[in-house]
Amino acid sequence: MLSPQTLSTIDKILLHHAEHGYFNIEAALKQLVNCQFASARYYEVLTDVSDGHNEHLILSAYAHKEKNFVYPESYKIPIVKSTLGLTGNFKEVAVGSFDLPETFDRAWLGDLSLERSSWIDLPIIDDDSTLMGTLCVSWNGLPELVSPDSQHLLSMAGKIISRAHGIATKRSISKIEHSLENSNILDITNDKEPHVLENLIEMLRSSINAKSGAIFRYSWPRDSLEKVCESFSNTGTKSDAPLAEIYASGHCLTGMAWTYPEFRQIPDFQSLSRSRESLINQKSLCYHEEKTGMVRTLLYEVVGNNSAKFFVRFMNRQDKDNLPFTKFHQTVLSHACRRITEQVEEATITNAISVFRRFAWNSMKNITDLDSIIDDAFLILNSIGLNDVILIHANLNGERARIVCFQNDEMQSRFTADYYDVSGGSLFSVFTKKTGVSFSNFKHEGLRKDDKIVELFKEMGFSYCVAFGVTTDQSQCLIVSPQQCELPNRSRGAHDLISSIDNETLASVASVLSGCIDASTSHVSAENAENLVAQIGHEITSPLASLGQIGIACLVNAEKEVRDILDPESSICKTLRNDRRRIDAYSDFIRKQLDVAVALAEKSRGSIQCNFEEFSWDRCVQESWLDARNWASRDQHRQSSGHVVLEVNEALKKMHGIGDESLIKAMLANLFKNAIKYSLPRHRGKPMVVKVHGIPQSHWHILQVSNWGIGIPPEKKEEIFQRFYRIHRTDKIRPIKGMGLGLYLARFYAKAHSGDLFCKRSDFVLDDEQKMSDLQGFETTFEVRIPTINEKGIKRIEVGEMR
Amino acid sequence: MSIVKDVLSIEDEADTVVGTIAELELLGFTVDKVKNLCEAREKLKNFSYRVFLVDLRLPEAPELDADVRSGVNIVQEIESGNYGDVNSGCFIMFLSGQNTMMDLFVHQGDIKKGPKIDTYRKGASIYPLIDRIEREVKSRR
Repeated sequence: MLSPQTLSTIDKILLHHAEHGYFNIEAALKQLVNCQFASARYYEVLTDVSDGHNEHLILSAYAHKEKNFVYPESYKIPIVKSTLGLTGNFKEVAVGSFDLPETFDRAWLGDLSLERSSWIDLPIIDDDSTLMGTLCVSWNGLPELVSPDSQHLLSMAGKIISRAHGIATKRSISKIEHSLENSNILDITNDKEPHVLENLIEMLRSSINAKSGAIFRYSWPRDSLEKVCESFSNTGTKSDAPLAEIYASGHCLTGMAWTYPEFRQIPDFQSLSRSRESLINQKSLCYHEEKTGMVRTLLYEVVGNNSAKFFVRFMNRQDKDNLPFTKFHQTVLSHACRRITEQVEEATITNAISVFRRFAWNSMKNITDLDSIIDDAFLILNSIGLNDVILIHANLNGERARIVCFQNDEMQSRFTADYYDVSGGSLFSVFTKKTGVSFSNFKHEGLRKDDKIVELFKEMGFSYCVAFGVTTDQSQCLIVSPQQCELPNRSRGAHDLISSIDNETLASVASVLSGCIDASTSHVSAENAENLVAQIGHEITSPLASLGQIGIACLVNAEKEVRDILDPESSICKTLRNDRRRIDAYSDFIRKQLDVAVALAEKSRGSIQCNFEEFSWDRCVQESWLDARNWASRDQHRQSSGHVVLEVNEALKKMHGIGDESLIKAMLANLFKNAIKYSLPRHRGKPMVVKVHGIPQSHWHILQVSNWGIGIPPEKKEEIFQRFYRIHRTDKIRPIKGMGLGLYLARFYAKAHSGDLFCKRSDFVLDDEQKMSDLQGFETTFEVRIPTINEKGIKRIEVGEMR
Repeated sequence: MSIVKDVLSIEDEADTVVGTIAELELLGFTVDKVKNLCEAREKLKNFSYRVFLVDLRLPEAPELDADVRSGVNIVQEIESGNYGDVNSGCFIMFLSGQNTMMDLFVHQGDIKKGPKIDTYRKGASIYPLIDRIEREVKSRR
């Protein structure tokens, strides 16, 4: 067995070739030999889309034989019956390889029970010959890769080859496009609903841009085709089988575009073009043409946890009782999707979800009002057979909730109502009702809470069928399974489809809808903010480190030059040394802040590296105050509101602690900024005052920071230390800006020193009830406690333990 | 018997240590710099070092991607005595841009922190690092 190190090295070499836009197997092999890792053998199973003629899977293999290297038995691919083969649809399997060295022993493939005589060239992949190989064989059956060793090798090879084949994959994409252009799909979509095709292509391209992904094609099983034909028998067309195609790629969703060739033969279908503009304007995901009775639906569905598929559905509206999506078809499709996605690594599949979401997002990005989104939500629901629904969207930005009622595919009423979402975040609820209940009786007055609405709906005869509320961080998702609801009698196909949708699917749909809603309202959720922080943090950590190092190196070189003519103890040399220390300190400080921000944003158990040394509390206070004052001076509103001065007591000047000075300063600066932000002028013509009171104790250094101005309600004294928490309070004099992070971070820094920070008091000190209700005229004191017994040295502070 | 130098820096992203190395050189230490494992092995054929600054992620050779375990691997080679006694008795400072990965290796026991091995977070203040290197070099002279 090859060592992980060997595999890793081969992986790197091949990827390196791939990422530089070429793939030369000879060069790669040469490099392998140079690196003394010359033994490797890879196989990859992938279905190929570039055929257009036959149904087959392609098994690509790459092998290199080192001198005297004997491949162990486990490398041979065993032949077993295929699970896919159970469908009996595969008539041919092609086995391909890269150009192999002469030493390649075909007997290695012997276990495949291949008909050796039938080795042929693969005409369908001629333009990919350097990548895909030249050998193939006809073979009845499918290889089932049951050997763990083989699975591992194949998995490795799959990753490598799929990445290495950026070029090939692009060609495959172009072939897909070409295929689409010449298929019924394009006949339907081209110039009529271009955004659908564009989205499809864009989606596939997204995967290519990620330099990963093979495109799979799964031909519709013959016997299944016959069944599909049967399902269409009442349309009067039996000659041609519908074609189902499932697309999957490494970073892309699994997908299926499904159509029926005869549709393009129906003249009326062309009339869809007339409604193109209206369709685009509607941004609908479901298109139907009442006049012709044709319905076209773009439907999303999530397969399992980590993958998604979509399909385009066409049906004759008049025949909707005979929807082609029978349980059987669903099963086959799901099976195929799963079969494909099994070959995609976990991380890749996770990305598929994001692509899926992006796709949905792109589809709706031009939608700016919630009503349109709710319409689209209804269309999605309608496409899975839920057409008597009430949809409610509410979020926490103070807007009134949108409530829309649909009945029999038509919107009955649309209104807004007071609606309090107690769970936080965006709430998107869908209620369905039994048929026969009139929406006109719906009374929306007095709605207050989720449960009341539910009760109200129930009283009105609604079956609480599907409801999902998604909090901003998706931590809460209320799902009521469709299986628990009473569905009206529906067509078999639709019913089957509904039954096959599980909670995970609904949760994903809810998630997508929630994301779309967030995008449309430009609402930056805490989750989005955290992701942004984490991403930026990761991106700039390394450049920041380099920046500091380069700055220091420049000054070192300058000092070297200066030393040729001046004494090392000259003032210039000293200045250069001091400047290097300053660069180092700033760089260190920013890096710490980034570490904290990233660790908190990622909710990880990350850590920050601190340097505990002795520091002067007074010096930290003065420098932090300067920092806070500079910050305030950049705020025009703050400038105009008057001066703020600092007062410190004598005891503070003698206090020396042990800690990370940069973090102590950051903590104090946050406290001072907060104090300045919420201070008010107490006496006409006199500056506002922030007082710092140092209290040295034997085990603790206590620091109290006090100001007079806007107060903190007693019940909020702890909440203000939560992330992104801000008291909804507006200063009449000027806007109070902030993200709700200052106190959170300040407490975090205190805890990093085994200390604490809390709001000691916020007392009303005036005799004016109006001002009290406005929270004006409060004396507020924050208290920091840092132990005096901290030890000096470099320390790792675990972020997770202090959250 | 190979020539003994003070520090070998094995770091593919030279900018992340350029200031540290400049300071060390200004202090009079002999410092060699290499960017990948192949170059490091070449150096080790001819020289011995008292202190190694080793990035956790290093490429095997130019133009190759960095491997997350390669820093650990080269240190194991050095410690095994393949390159002489001086090297095997050296002090090693692992450098990493990410605490997470470093913590993982420490947790797994791949990096055994102690008198001979320590870790440094890139971007952190370099002067405690320089002080440490200075001490370690002098104790091995």
